Amino acid sequence: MGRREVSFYIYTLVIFACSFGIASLGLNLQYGLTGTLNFAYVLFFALGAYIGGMVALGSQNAPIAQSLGEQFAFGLSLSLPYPLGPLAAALAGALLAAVVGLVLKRSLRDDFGALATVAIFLVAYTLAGSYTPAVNGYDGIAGIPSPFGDENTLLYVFVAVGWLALSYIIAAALSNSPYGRRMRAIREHPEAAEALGKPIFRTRMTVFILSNAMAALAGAVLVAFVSAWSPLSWQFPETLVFFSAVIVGGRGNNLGAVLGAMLIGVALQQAVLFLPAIPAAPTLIPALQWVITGVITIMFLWWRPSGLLPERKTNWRSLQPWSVRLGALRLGARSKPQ
Amino acid sequence: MATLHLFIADLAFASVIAAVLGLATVAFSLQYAVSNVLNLALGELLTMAAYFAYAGSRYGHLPVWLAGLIAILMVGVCSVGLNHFLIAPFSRRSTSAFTPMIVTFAVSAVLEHLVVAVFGPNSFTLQLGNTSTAIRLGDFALSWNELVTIAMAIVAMVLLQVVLKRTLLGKAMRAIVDNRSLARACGIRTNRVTDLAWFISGCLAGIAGLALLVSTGTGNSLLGTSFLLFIIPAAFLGGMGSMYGAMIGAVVIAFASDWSSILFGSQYKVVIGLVLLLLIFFVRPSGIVAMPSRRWEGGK
Repeated sequence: MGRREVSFYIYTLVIFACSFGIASLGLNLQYGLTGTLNFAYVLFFALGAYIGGMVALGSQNAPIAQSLGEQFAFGLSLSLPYPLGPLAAALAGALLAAVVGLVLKRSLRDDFGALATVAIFLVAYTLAGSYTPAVNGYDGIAGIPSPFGDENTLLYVFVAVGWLALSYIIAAALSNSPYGRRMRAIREHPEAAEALGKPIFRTRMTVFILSNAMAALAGAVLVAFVSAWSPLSWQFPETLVFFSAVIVGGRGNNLGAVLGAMLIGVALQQAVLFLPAIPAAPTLIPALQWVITGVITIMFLWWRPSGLLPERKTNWRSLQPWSVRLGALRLGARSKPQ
Repeated sequence: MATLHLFIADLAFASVIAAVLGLATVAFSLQYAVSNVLNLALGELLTMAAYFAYAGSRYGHLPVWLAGLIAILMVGVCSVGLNHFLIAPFSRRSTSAFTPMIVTFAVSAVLEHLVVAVFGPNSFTLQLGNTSTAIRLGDFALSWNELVTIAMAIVAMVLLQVVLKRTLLGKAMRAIVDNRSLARACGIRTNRVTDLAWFISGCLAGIAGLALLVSTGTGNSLLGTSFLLFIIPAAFLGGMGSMYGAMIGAVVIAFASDWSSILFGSQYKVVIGLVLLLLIFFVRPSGIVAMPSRRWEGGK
């Protein structure tokens, strides 16, 4: 392997880690912190990828699909400059999340709502595959231009890291704020939170919209690099990768979600590639990756449900502003020797 | 009028799908009724039945009916194992219904890809019986395979009904559905009865998987997962946890999806189920739980 290949390999890993990290942060907000179960999570990721790709596609590189003798050009022939793709994707994710959330209404909190998200995902998946005019069916979209040209991959790596940093800042700010405490209260005891006057549905809904927008953003970050997207990239079990990342990393811990995304989404996938390939069964190794992901998830849920980096409990001191906390330290130091 | 002819010609296929869907939906809601867990791995039980039967007849050189019977029993055992070693321990430990549901999600991914790892990704065909026409009434034609499928479903339903209503096991199961801790206090071995209920529902899923294989002719690792698309709306429509409701829901979804595919084109086959499901959510925001039918059949 030449130096170019090595650096391209590293770029690939970093961009995958960033994209999966953003998506895991989003899932941590809705599942880890608020306790909303959404098995259609990868649908929002896929929507973001489609929108991000189609906004960036120009008329000259839009793939043509043939259906019943007619030709459709995909992409909106916009060729919009880079940051608009991910932003449009996030907006679309938020809109779809709002629609799904409004339909499910109060069922967002229970297992029936979770089952409904399974049905929503399966129908959307089947439609995306069979209804060609929408997103070109199982062939998918391809030829999405690199945002900064093919020579500037390194620049895009930095941009992807920037998106991850932005998402982390948003997620951390939210979970450390009073709003984050409200989210945890709703997760732990919805009735008690409601009795204290916290608007449960509105909070769940806000977090649902924000976190699914993050999933869409993650999809757009990925698709600008891999330059193609089709239903094969977002099958039903794909959501498990993000759940696994959140559970292994630590439910409710943002740093844990990013760590889990790197372990499950990137490291495990690469580690499996080092297994000796069996030429007679080329699908054995990818299948094994799924088996390992599922088994690890179940093992963590049983033996270490809090994950590698457990959620930190809020104590009284951490709720104080920094000025008070420093003051308290000084007070303590002065009062001790006496 | 041409459409009417199509309706009638498709009646046989729609009734086969209704039979398969009825079995799978009853299995799904029986598992929910006794364990309070929505089992996302149910589709994989259907897939495994198809693969077990295929392996038995292809590699074990068994006659097809024997391979099918063994496959059904093996899926029943797998279902018991799933409950005994995974779902029951997780349900005992956690108060939330979410953790067992995520476990079933992980199990579904594991099983789906285990099948791929063992049998390879290619789809297979199982030559079964004869496809000649058994009954013909005008446009309506029923082949022997379809007739056997429907008969299998009806026999399974009647047997389940007998078990639930006439045996002590059925009584114990209904008691557990009504009130688990009270049933345990009355001396019912709740864990064992729950395992047996999972065995029954696993066998039902196995029959459904075989029937699906017979009706489609080919199977692959996504056979059952893609069928979950119809099971979920049918279970919702019937009111989760009710047996007759599950059957009615299955029939409605099967015929609605079949006829909508005739009217609007085959890609809309899947949409009607979701539309019905979301309609239920919209009309009843409290969920199906509020429906009065939330008890296993047989009366109090």
